[in-house]
Amino acid sequence: MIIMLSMLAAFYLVVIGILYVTQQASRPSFDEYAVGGRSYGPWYVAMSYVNSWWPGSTFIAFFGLAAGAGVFGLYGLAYSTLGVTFMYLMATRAWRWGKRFDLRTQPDLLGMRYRSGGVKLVASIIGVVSLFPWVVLGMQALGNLFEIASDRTWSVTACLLIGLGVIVLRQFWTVKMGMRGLIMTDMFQGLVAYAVAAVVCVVMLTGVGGSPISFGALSRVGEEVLRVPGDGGSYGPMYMFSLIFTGVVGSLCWPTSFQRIYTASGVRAVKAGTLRTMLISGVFYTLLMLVGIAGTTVAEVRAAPQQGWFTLLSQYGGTWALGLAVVIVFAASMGHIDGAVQVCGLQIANDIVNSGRRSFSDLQLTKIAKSSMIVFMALAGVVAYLTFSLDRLQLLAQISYQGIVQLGVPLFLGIFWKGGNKFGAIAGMVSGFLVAGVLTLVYPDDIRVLGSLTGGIIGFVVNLVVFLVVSAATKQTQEDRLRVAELFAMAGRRVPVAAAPAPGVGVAQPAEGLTS
Amino acid sequence: MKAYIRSLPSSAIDLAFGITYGITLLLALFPPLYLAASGSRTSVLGMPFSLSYWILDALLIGLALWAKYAVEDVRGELDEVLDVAATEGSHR
Repeated sequence: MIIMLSMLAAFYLVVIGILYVTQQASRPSFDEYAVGGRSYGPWYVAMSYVNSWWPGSTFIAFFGLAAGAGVFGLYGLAYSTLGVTFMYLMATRAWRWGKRFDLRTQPDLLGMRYRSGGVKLVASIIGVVSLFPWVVLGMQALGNLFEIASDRTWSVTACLLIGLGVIVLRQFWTVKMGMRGLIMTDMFQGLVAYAVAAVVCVVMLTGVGGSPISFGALSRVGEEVLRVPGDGGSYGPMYMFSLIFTGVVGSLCWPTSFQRIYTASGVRAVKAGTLRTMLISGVFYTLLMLVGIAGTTVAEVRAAPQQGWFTLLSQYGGTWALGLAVVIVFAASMGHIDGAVQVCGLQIANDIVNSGRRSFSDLQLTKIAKSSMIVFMALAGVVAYLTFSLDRLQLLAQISYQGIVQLGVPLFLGIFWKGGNKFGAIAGMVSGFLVAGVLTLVYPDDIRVLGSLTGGIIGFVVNLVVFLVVSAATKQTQEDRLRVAELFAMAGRRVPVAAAPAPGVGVAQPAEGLTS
Repeated sequence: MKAYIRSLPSSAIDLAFGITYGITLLLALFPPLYLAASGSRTSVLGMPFSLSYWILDALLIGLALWAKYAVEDVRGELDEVLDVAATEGSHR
């Protein structure tokens, strides 16, 4: 127990040390606070994106999927790589509009595109509401980690309270430093959570040192492990489609992921960051899933797949390896919670409070964002404590996933298509969110009569139809058509930027014809 | 090679990438395709095809995106323009 707790403490102290060393002496502007002054290079963007994308539950829920159901777990690889590709494709427009109009959040972009405070408000509320259950679950997961680290000698309540205390203390720096604090620690947390985890997986798959699994075990797994849902079993053929489609769309709808575009120093940094994100995600997640699938040959893992990561590491290297497993999950959990708290506080200040009815100074907005983060975090902490033993919270998280993808319709159409208007966007999002929410309450997993489609997909279709019909019925005004045409033309022109402030960031030298 | 890449019309590059992206999306989203690979024990990349199917799909889109980035880099489409006035100001 002492060894594992010491390892956690050492990791935690390094994180706090990084925050202490990298904090700025001067008070940051709201732009620096919100998006780090749009100054970060591709590696920072990538690691921050990966941290916001793979929470600690990846090592529990997704690993459990691979260790319990086999190839099914690889659906996460498909949606993450295909989804990140969307980020690349929308990078130029999203970043240039962000730079020109000083956009800081995803709802900011939607509000600008449709010239509507209502669109911005609805999108922001959907984002904050959808992220809330994940922060609560993340906090509860930390409680579970402390249960393991204490060899289950501490009470469940004590573990939860310690987990909450640790993450709340960490958030002091998130509140104080904003995006900068997040980006700096994401690099270290990401290295531990994903790079170290990938190395551990490779070592185990080689089978050296008495590893309980090996690469060769993949060829000996059971027949059922190689079958995806829909190929026999109780699920219909559309279940895999539903999960991957929702994941692809969701990859840019989560406010935490989208905001990484605005932290980048330029289009090159976003695109290069996207490639690195794909590399890190692809390698890490593939290896993790292969370990999980090979783990189906281990009886103890088969008996409790969700604990499989800890079981395998414990069997492989005893207490030290189990401690490393706990630290890896702790790093991933912390990175995800940090990002969610930061972006929710920011959206509450920037999109909900700062709705245009009255103007706020930079200082006031920063204070509102800080207060919002504290309230959001405290609320999540209280809910985490009160619902620690409730299973239904997982259902809320499922609903939130089906809900967040409803931002996809106005977001993707708004970036890639000149049509549509604010009435269509609001009506589509609200109807899609409601349909997805109600259907997911009735059918938490899938809708069998529809081939195992999920409620989120039905909501998405309703959202799309309502968006198109309402937009066609209410029509774009001539003024709006011209404004949107100018927006798209503007996105084709390069933006003047100062010299690269971060290493590894490409900025073109002034040259003739560059601003065409 | 670089001169050839620079001479290509944007539409040709978009089409080539679009087709590749479309194929990878189909592989992941079209049930008859992924159900055909499901359960296959044929060894590809040293593991059953049922598993390597998803890894190959990810590899294909990863390589296609990397190629698109390299092409855009050669064509000088990735960088913003340097604001000399702002840069000089920021160094004072």
